[in-house]
Amino acid sequence: MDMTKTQTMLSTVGLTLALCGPAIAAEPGAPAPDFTLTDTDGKSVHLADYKGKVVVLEWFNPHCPFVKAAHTKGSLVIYAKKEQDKGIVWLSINSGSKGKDGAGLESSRAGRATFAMANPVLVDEAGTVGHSYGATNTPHLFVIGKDQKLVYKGAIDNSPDGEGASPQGGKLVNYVDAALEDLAAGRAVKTPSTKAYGCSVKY
Amino acid sequence: MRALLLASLLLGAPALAAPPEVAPSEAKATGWKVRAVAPRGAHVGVRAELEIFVEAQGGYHLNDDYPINFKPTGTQAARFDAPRIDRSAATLSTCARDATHKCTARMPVAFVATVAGPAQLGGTLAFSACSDAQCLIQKVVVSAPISIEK
Repeated sequence: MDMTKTQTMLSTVGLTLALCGPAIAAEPGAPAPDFTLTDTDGKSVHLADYKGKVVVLEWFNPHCPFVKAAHTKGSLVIYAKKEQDKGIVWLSINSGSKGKDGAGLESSRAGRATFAMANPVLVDEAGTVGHSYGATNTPHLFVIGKDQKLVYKGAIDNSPDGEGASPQGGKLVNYVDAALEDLAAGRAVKTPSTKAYGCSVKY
Repeated sequence: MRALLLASLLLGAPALAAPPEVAPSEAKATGWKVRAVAPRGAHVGVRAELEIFVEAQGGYHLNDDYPINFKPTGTQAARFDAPRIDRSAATLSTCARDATHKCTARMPVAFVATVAGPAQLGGTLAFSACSDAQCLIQKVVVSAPISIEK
């Protein structure tokens, strides 16, 4: 294949990627995809504004029983509030598309009240942000370092019932907690990715 | 009857106490069905198995990530091998590749009968079933009648 044909092919691939958005979702080590979304109070939230702070993204659907379990019995009970008090930015994101179970502004607002969440819940009905991160489940957690690189992607913990009652190996491990501890200690995150569990994101 | 009620009231005894509630051997709702099946001919001192079946149906499938488990309810009629039977003991079928997505799980619950006579053996099954639209987490209580012989 000559150079001209190769360049034409690469240009076509580049154009296709540009038109279709990122074909591959962000993985740990890569820059966290930037976004601007509106929260349930109508406030605009821009990820880049939090450069210099550690950010946790939590994919959220208030109707998902795994989310309910995690927020009422499991690892997410008061957890976000505790981390926020330490200076961590915690953003929950609902990427359910219009008309789907638990999707939209009203459901997100009601869920935030039900679970007494102190952090913003952002509405991503188009699913663009969810797809750019490769969010597949609710809950699905992402930790972003101060340099806005993704350092963790996966489950909140190792108990896929959401309640913390069935930890694999017998001992409950909060993976987000572990990643935040590694970051605070200036270490590389020991477990940068795990398999998320829960409901599917209702794109 | 009137005399009996009157006598109960006069004596201060509770009038016609309700019988203890017995869990059904089968429970079902949209998306799932659970059954408890006791063995025939169980004998005191001999190990046997209670079987718990869960079937996802109507567009739902069993959530493979969920740690399905069964917790037997304590009874004087039998001694269960374990207080909780985990996913590792379950046999899960592959979901049908058609519109029903039907798939099943079977959980064997080993026990040794301790007292002869009629009894109910059961417990609580925790599982999750999902459709394209939503997921369910269920904790279902079932029990099966059994006749234990000496």
